[in-house]
Amino acid sequence: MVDDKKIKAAVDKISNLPDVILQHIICYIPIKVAVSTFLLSRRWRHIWCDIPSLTLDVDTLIAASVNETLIHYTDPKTKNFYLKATKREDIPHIDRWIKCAMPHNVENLSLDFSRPYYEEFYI
Amino acid sequence: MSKKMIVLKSSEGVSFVVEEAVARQSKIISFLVEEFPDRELPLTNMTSEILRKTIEYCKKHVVEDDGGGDSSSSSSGDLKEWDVKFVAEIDQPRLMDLLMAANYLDIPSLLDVTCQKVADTIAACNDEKEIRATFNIENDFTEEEVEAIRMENQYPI
Repeated sequence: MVDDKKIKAAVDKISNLPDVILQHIICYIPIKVAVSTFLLSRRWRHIWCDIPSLTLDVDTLIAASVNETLIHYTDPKTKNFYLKATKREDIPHIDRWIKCAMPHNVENLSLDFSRPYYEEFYI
Repeated sequence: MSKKMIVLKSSEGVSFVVEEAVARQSKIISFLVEEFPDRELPLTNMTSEILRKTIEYCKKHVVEDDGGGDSSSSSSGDLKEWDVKFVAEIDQPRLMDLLMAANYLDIPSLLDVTCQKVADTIAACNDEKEIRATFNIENDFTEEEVEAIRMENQYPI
């Protein structure tokens, strides 16, 4: 006869960490993977929503992903908000994305639209 | 001149004699040393193994402040390299223990490197199933919940 409790898999240490530590960890993960942690378990459901640093590199995401991220992001006091958008098709969204940062009382706002102008002229 | 030493005691009751400057990288120990000088400090939720590792990290990172001038042991580049190697050699369960120790003892730089390593491990996983398997996370969602969550989060890949 097998005792279920005895053969229980190794302990889930990570889920027992305090929210702030989990958020500290998630800040180091690309946002696409960071957001996907909501699917891990109930414990993780809303953890990513309050990470203190948000890095949105629209060159590696699509505009719809950025929108979806910003809809669910709820941290009331964001330390770092970094937005990089260098593609021409991102331009119509940029105003809204910056407005979305405002309610989060962002301490450091970094914006990178650094595509050289001459590239735009020849498209 | 002899350096001031303090004694840290692990959960198994093993005593570690450590230079005060080394131990003071922990903000908690720094506070306790001032409040309770000449006392050995019991760290009841830290095993000897994890305490030894924590001390090893603190020894490497201690800032020499006895006016040695050019005697600084490592450049910051070397130190970063050392940190990466330090956490790379630790298996996942122990890494979690070390991370918890860094949090408990309040050693911000150790917390940073351990969090970074855990983050790298998560980022290297292909999907949430692999993350769960790696960290033994139990999926406690019902099928209905998963359905509802996916409806709510229309995150395009």
